[in-house]
Amino acid sequence: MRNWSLVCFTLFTQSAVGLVWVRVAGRWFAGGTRAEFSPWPMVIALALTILGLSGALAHLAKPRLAPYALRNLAVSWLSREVFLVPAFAGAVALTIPLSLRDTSSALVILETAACFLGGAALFAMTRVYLLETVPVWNSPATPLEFAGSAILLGSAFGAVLTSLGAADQPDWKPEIIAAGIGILLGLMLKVLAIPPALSAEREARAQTWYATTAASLSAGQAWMVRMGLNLISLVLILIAMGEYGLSWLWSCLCLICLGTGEVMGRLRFYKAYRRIGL
Amino acid sequence: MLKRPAFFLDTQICTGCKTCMIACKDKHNLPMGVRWRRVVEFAGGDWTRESDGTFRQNVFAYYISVSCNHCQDPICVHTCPSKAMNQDNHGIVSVNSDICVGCRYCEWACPYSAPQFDASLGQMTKCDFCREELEQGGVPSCVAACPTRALQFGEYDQLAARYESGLLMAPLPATELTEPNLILESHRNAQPAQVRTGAICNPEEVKDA
Repeated sequence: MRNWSLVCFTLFTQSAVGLVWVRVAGRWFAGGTRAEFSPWPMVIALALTILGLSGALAHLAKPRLAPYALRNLAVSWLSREVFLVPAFAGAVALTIPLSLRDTSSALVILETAACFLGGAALFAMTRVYLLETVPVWNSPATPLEFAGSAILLGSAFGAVLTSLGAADQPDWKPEIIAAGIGILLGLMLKVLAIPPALSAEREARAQTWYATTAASLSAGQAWMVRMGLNLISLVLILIAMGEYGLSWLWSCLCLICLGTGEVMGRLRFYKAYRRIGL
Repeated sequence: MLKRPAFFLDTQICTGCKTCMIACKDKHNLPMGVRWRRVVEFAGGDWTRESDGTFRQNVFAYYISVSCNHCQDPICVHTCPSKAMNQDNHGIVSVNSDICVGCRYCEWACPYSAPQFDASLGQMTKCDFCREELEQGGVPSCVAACPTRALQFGEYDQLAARYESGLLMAPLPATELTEPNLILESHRNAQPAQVRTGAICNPEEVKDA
């Protein structure tokens, strides 16, 4: 349960950050040619962040004391994360009524603010795990993994939303192309994370205060399964981008594949922490 | 009251009897699974074939009694989001139970696993060096209970001057991570830190006691 609550918190929040990034990238990609943009990506991003924060609260033994977690902003990255994730949610929430009223300049400013706050929240979330005393997490693989998850899952959510709304919005190509590029970029980050992740796991095993990993799959096998799922999702998103019909179905399958791989990877990430004895 | 209290452990004479562990649990009435002090058995070795065809063994085992080392650079204090984990003027690290949110981040960060989660209280708990005893001129319960006097405590500078600390021994983590207030007399078979020439042989014992 403890790991699941953190898996939910990190993956939902990262998906929300990625979805906001993809939304803004889609707007840039469209070159400002379209006057109206659906508020749904921001609604879903807010819902994902709220789900993530619920997971974080479930992780706490005393959720009613959660506001105290803001007391150490000067030093603790966890405290900063606790501040930045709700700030990101607030910025996203403010964009929703503006999307409905079509006040574009204020909307662009707020969406940009949400992008930066999301990036800051993701950075703080990453720093929480870069602990010198936990060698298995303290590697370049952690920031690459987290950024990769945000871009991959955000793009997949973006693709699903775009393809579901395609009937109402005939000019939907720029957004789904942005989502496809996002998935490709996310995959590249995931591939870059493999060598440092394997190296960190080897280093952690050398520490005598760690137990050897008792996972059912070795680190290499787990990476192969995840990369296989990611490649399948890349093929699915390419099909969704084509003119083959049923784009929503291919996008949904792509999201399921990516989500499965990410949950698997994140559970393994938390299980890799196995201090014993001392 | 000492200015900078520190623990000293003579690993040459520690027999691994775990009286210190039990005394701590008894004094603080700790529930099952919460261990402010733990005794780790580190062992290894094998048979080796000599050039004349005979076999010799190089088996070793030693014990290290570990609790919170009230580090000079306590990572638990730096990482705690609510400032519940704090360090007083004497360097004693303790938990403010009124504001501990129970996130267990300190448990992740501490390389000695000193902060221990008490599920019945829903918060972190840890060794406070038996502060009440120290203030009244007494000694920590673990030190008082040690039958071989392997475990002692005192002013860090005095202990450091008296003993050559062998802190860089397995299975302890590197000292520069947190600068622990712990002085060790090295065991004759002490293994270098971060080399897997041995393993902690009683994980269930220290985890479930």
